[in-house]
Amino acid sequence: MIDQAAKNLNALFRLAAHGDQRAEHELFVNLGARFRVFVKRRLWAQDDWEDVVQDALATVSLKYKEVEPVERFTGWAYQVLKNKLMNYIQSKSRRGEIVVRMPEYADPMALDDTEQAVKRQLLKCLKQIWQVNVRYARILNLHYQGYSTAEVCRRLALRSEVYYSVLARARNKLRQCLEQGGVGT
Amino acid sequence: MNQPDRAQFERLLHAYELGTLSPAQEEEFELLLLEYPEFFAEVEKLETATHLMRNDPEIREHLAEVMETLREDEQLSAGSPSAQPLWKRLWFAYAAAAAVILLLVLVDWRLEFHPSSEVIAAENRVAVMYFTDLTDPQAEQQWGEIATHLIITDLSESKYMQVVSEQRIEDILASSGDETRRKVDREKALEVARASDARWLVMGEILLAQPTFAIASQLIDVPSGELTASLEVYGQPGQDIFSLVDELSTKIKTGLSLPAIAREEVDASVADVTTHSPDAYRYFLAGKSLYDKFYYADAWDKLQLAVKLDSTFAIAYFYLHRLSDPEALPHALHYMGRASQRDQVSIRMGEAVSRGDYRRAIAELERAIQRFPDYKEFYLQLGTYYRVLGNYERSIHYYKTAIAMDRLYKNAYNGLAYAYDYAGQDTLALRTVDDLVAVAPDEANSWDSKGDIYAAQGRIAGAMAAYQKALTIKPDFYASTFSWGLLQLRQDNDTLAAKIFQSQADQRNIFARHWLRTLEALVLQVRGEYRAALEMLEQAIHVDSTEAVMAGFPRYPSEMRQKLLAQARIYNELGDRESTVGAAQKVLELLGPEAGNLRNRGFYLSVVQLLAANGDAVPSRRQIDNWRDQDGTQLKIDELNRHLTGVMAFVAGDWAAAIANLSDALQKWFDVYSVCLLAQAYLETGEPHRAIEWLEQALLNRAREHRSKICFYQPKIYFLLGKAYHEAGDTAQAQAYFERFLKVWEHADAGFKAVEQARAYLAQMTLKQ
Repeated sequence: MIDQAAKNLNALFRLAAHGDQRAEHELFVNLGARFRVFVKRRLWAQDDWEDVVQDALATVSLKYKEVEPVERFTGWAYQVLKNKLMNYIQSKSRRGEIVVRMPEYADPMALDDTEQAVKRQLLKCLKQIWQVNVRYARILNLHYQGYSTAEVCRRLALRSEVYYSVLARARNKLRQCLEQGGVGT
Repeated sequence: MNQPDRAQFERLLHAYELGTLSPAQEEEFELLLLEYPEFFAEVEKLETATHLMRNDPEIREHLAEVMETLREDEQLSAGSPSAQPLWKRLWFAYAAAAAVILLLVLVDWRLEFHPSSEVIAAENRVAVMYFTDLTDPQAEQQWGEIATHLIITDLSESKYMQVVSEQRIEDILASSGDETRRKVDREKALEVARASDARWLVMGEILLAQPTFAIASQLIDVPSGELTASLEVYGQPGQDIFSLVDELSTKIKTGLSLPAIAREEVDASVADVTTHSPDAYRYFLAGKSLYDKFYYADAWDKLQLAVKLDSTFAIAYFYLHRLSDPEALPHALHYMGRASQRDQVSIRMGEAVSRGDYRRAIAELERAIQRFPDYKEFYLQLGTYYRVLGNYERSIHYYKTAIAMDRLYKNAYNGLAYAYDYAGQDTLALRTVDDLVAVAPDEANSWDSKGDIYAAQGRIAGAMAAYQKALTIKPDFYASTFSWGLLQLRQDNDTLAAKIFQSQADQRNIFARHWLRTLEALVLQVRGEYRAALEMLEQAIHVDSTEAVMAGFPRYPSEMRQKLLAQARIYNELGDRESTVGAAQKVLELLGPEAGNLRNRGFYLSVVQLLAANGDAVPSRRQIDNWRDQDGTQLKIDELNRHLTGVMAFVAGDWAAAIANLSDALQKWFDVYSVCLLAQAYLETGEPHRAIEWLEQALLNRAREHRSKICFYQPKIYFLLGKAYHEAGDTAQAQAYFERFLKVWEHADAGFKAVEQARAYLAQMTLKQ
């Protein structure tokens, strides 16, 4: 039985390489989840993420059994993704398309049920944080609106050396709220 | 790759999340995420949320709105930028500077600059956390609660300190999901202090309780989180907690860096501004807490115990006054010098309101919020009093301000819902009352208010369901019972209404029992059983009066007026002029100077209409003219006069004048009795369609303040509609309304002409068919 601890990708790879189909399935599910996180940070459009992720997973699935020794699997898989990302960005740039940019007016995001639930909780938490600590609310808002560090510090009268610790605390507050269903003090 | 320790990972995680890692560092971190599933799980938690915050338009719109609100706040506090051109601004500046220089040269000033007390206070903002009672883990004696409130009260007396209100602390903790403020460690306490913009934090413990008290306290500098002072006070055997709190407060103030001028302030003993009795204080705190939940009957009991133990407890009397104890306000005023400065504001405000001087109450409160800016109850009161004055815009503004201070402030949601309702903003009223229910779903009042809003908008089924829900939460919540019963009466379900009212027969609250008797008699009136109703009212007046005296109230409690008014109405319908005038004048006597109170104007109209209908309008006219001078407001005075003129014209048979005055008055001030007279005047002048319009409007009227009156006149409205439709030639509608009238009046007293006429009309219509 594949338990939580065995979702270590290298362990799954070992099993999959020896013909364990269930392990192979788990391997690609978990790898795909990580790839999506990495790709979302770099690309804007939802359609583009999946293109890159699927392309990378396809390459991994074709060639993973040739990878040796086993400890190199995660490093190798990551390199595959990097190459795919680079190719993708370069090809879009050649066509003059903007790939990595914050949209001013985006279409409503197509969200599944889980993401909708997170969104509801997120709105609730943002409001609660505003109530509990306006400073945290402001720094989160400014940061995620895309303001530069210098601009955020100017607006909040913060020294740059404390900016990151305040933002980290605010982010932690948001994380606690999302996990616990309420703002923890 | 070696697994980093937790702290290392957290640092890297934050940096990764914030996008502050270099490409190489980011790559290394992402490899960690591939290697270690537990690390990836951490990232995944916030991944969706982060992505939403960066990309979802709705979230980004919310963030932008928040920023806009914060920007507006900043602009408001900083003042609007001048629109004048630079040279003009500079010219004034030069002129002002020249004037100052001239003054300095010509006059020998020794200029001393002192920051104002407000500035000092704002710089010395203190948050006091709940003091844990180490001697009583179950907090049965509530020494921790008592000490905390007393310290807050004592420190608040100083002009040079701002103390975060108990409410604000509780609100911050509640919004962070902390159900109890009794187990707050230092980290949490500092978070709360920072959230409330406090400069100082005071925490502490009760080390010893009776017979000898000892309290330990820590004074903490909030920005640095450093302990500034550890303070301990040990009482002598028999020394009470009040004097110990005085000692502790003095030490706390010494520990703060207050300027010399602050130390010259007179420091009254906290017992002198609250009570000398710990038990009385304990009851007061319990009573206030129950009051805030609208559990008035229970609050009443606790507060009565408080004043029994301390007959000079001013603020306890004030809360009793709020619970309609007619004797309480004079006591509160008499002992006002024994209340804290914040409580004195409440008492002065209460006194102004009792005289109907809402403008003075508002002025008092608008001054008070400068000194006590986070005492949300003042904003709530401002919302309420502006609503009474009919200034719904200001009312809504203050309610919303209170809600902005506390997103869970149910009383403010409650008031705001009604304000929207009165302002005719139905959708917002519904939305707000739904917010109220969401905020306080387990409180009966939330559902009661929802019932009221739904009822006002004609959503009868929803209203009834809401009232019933309130009663499942609190079966003795009589407001909901009575509202539900009145709604049933409006639906012609008099038998069910009677049963509903009877369910409160064991009501503990004396005022609820008085109200219940009035409503039981109303059921008989609605049925046309006037003789039985008069007997019941007479008996009820006697019982109310005896009960009141035994409970230590004046002989004629306020609900007595409703019963006497009901008698006057019945006598008027029976054509007994002398008895009508007698009962109505008795009501005015009981009203006394409160007749001029803005809140009583609807009631006053009901009384003087009956006097005017029976030829006794002159004294009322004089009285109304007096008010015009007294309260300086025209609010409803002209309309009152128009109603009375209309009634008098009707009685004199001057239909045109009756129609002109009543229809004009009704545009601004709806009243069902005036509608009945107007309809009859239209029938006299052969305009049945106009009569129908007004009568149908009356049937649709759902305003809360008209409920009992409409119930009384509803059968008459059915009868008049029957007549009007008959004259308009609409036989079907005429028949329907006559049948409805006769159904409700199935067991009415014998001899009513209306019953005979209705039967005759129906017989006629049946023959024709």
